[in-house]
Amino acid sequence: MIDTRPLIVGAGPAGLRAAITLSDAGLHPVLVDHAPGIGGAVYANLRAQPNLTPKLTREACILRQDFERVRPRVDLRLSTAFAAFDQAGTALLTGQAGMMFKPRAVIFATGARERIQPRPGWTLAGVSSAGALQIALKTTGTLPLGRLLLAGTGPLLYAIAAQMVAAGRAPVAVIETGNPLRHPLMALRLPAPVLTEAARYMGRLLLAGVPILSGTDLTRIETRNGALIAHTSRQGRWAEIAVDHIGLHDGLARNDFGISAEMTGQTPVFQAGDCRSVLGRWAAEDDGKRAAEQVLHALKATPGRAAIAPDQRFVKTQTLLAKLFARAPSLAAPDLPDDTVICRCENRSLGDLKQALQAASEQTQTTARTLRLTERFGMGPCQGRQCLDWVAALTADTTSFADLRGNRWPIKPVRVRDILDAPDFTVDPSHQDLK
Amino acid sequence: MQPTDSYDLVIAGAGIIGASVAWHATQRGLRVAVIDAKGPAAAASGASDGAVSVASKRPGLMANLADASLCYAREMAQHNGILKGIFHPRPTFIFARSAPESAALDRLTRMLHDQSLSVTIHQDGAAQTSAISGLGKDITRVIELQGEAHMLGYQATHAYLRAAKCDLFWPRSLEAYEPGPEGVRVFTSAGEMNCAQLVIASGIGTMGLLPNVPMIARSGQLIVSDRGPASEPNLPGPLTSAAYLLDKTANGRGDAGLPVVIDPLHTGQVLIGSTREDHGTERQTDIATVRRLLHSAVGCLPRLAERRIIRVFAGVRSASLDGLPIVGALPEEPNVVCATGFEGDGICLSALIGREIAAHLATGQSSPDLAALTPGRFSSQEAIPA
Amino acid sequence: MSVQTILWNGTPIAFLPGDTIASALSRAGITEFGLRQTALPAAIFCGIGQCQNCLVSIEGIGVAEACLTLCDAAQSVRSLSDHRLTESAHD
Repeated sequence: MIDTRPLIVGAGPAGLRAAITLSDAGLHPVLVDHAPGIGGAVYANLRAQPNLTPKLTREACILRQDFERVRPRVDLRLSTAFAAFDQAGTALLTGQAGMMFKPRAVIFATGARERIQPRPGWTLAGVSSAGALQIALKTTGTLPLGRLLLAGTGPLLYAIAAQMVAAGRAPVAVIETGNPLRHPLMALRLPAPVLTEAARYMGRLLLAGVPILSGTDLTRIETRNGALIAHTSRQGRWAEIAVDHIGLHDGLARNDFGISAEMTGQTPVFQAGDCRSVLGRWAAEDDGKRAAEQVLHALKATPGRAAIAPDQRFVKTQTLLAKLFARAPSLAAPDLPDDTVICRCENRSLGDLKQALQAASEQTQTTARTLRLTERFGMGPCQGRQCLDWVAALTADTTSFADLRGNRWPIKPVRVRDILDAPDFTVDPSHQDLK
Repeated sequence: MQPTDSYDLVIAGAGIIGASVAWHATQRGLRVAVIDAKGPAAAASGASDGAVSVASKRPGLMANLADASLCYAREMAQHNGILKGIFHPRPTFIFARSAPESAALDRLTRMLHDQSLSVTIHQDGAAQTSAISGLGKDITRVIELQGEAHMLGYQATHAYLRAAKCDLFWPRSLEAYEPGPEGVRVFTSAGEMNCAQLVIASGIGTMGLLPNVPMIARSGQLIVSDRGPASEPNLPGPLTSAAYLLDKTANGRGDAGLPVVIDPLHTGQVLIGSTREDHGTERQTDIATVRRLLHSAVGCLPRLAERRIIRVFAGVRSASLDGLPIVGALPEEPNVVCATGFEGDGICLSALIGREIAAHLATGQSSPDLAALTPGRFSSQEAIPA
Repeated sequence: MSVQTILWNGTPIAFLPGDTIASALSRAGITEFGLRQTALPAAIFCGIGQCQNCLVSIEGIGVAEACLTLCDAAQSVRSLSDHRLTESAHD
């Protein structure tokens, strides 16, 4: 029999809620995630050993309970990558529970990716995204050895710092590019649950005496005597902080690489949660439910909800947060030296990019194609997730982010063996001829 | 709109052919402009594997032209030639897995000998005796050729355009042209240009411009791997199935097996290709086809099973109905020259075609070697075979 | 309960239930997982399988993200730049 069960990619809050909604309507969705457990990044502690990690929030517990209820009807495939969905309507999953099949609907719930601004030294071992530290904390209750420093901007930094404090590993400091505490009145317009959470985090940081250096840039990282030296700058005043591990975070963006442009076939495809619009975990659950209802509607199983606009409350909250964390206009963006690595995959620097732009501007425009083929930006295994935001910003007058993105599959690198080993349920087994 | 500019030569198409014509024409002192709807190497030249191969050509004229182009490119890669660092000599390995493929290798051997080509057979024998370790048991026979090369289409395109002292315009597409006694009026998406002569080398973009030159778009899917472990030896050259030769010849491949090429890149990555489809587009790739290609590739080189695939893409080649490129002045329009329909052979033929077209433009004399490629061959036919 | 270990380039490293290769190495103070072919260090960066900066070679699995792969007892894990890989991969 040809397998046509609906596919949900990503087992975070949006994907789990979508799976619950589809199952409740009598469908048997396939839910795939490349991580070894459910929860996505935000609820990564759902896959942790009990008692090791920070306590689960109430929402996480409810979500898990609801998912446990429908678990027998969901084909959960963990440690399995979603590799591709082609115009013929074939989906390819690879890894532990890989397969090829023809889902009659697809929901992408692939969450967010962290935006991390390139800085000299950001490729050193020991420098990671702040989110990576949080995942380690949430899944195993541990953090890397030694002194920790958080830097960048955005509300997630404070959540992570507070969780570090709770784990007994307070960071040396939080270096904040923006100046969110400058506008207490604006902050008071945030919805109550957000404010409560923020107050709890800030309280914990204050009690632990964690310095929050706002309006400060982390301009450069180097190694000295086995330590990482963070060079900071605040209105022209320089300082150095010696640590062992640095977590960087400059906000969140949709993790929608490769999941939209090519999908023009007959199969209904929806995006849900942060990969559609970065509005956080509460909105994500709501959106997962909504996407599932749209699938049901498309498959004529039930009347669907017509409205697809996200809940305006969540949009307002994010807009307000963006304003709060906006970089003060007096602070100029740090002038990066030319040897700053921009593309971490192919080791291409800002100087390489400038040179390409300059060589071209003597004659004519540099095309996105040239930046990819000749300059290698976006051509590495991360497919530009780390660099293209910045390449697009630096070449804004000639190329667009959309042109720079190849949007090619596989969505992430997959082993040839895994592609070949994936059982094929796109054809009737009696007619199979491969192998 | 007033004419904006006047040139000896306007070239529509900044692919490897247009770029080679541009450089060769500026070497002869012509004032040249190159326009392109997108930019340099934006279509087939940018999507190609970069194999400069004589062995894969049809015996006879095409193999001779390819060989002449290869010898000329080899010269341009020496000393401080324009292709230095871009054209890399390397061996080619062509293998057989079946009786029809082995017969194709025999035909190849005869062709290289009968036509006295510069590409020679270094070794012909069982898989175990070849210079590549770890070949799959599917492979029964391998021929190692010497004299072929690797040249990435986009690198050669950029090298030609960088060195050519000419004006470049993109995005600017050729929309129409009007030959007259004074030269050619060229209507582009960004206004009018005047030139004495026009070269149309815009690959599949040529299709709409020259309705009397019948062409088809033939797409191919390609797969790129990761760099692999540092310890893994890179292939010394491409590993090509003999079925690939059959695919390009008029006979077709019958039951020879899936044509597959495993092409090493200098990064340690490998490029696995390629299909030949009459209905695909630049954006169309599909899982089933890619899996068949990979299955075939792993049968030839089992260690590929451990590589990770980072990207799958498709390129579109412009092909003529009789399988020969279309090169030369248009019938009745001596000031308009077209160069298209290379179906992937543009990388190999670009050096020669650029030189010959530039010579034709500068002197009015065209090479008798290219006579068979003239676009006039279609209008002289009674009916075009579909 | 005896402590379980993986073998990192031949050296035993303890791991806890639920540990990924990355978290076990990180707890042992190992932040650099060798050099990538572009000469940049292999190390944890994004932590969620996107950036491909933490690839290692895992016995029985092949090249994989250290941040996504759970530890398995006595499993041999090597850095991609470790040349001893040659012997194990081609014998």
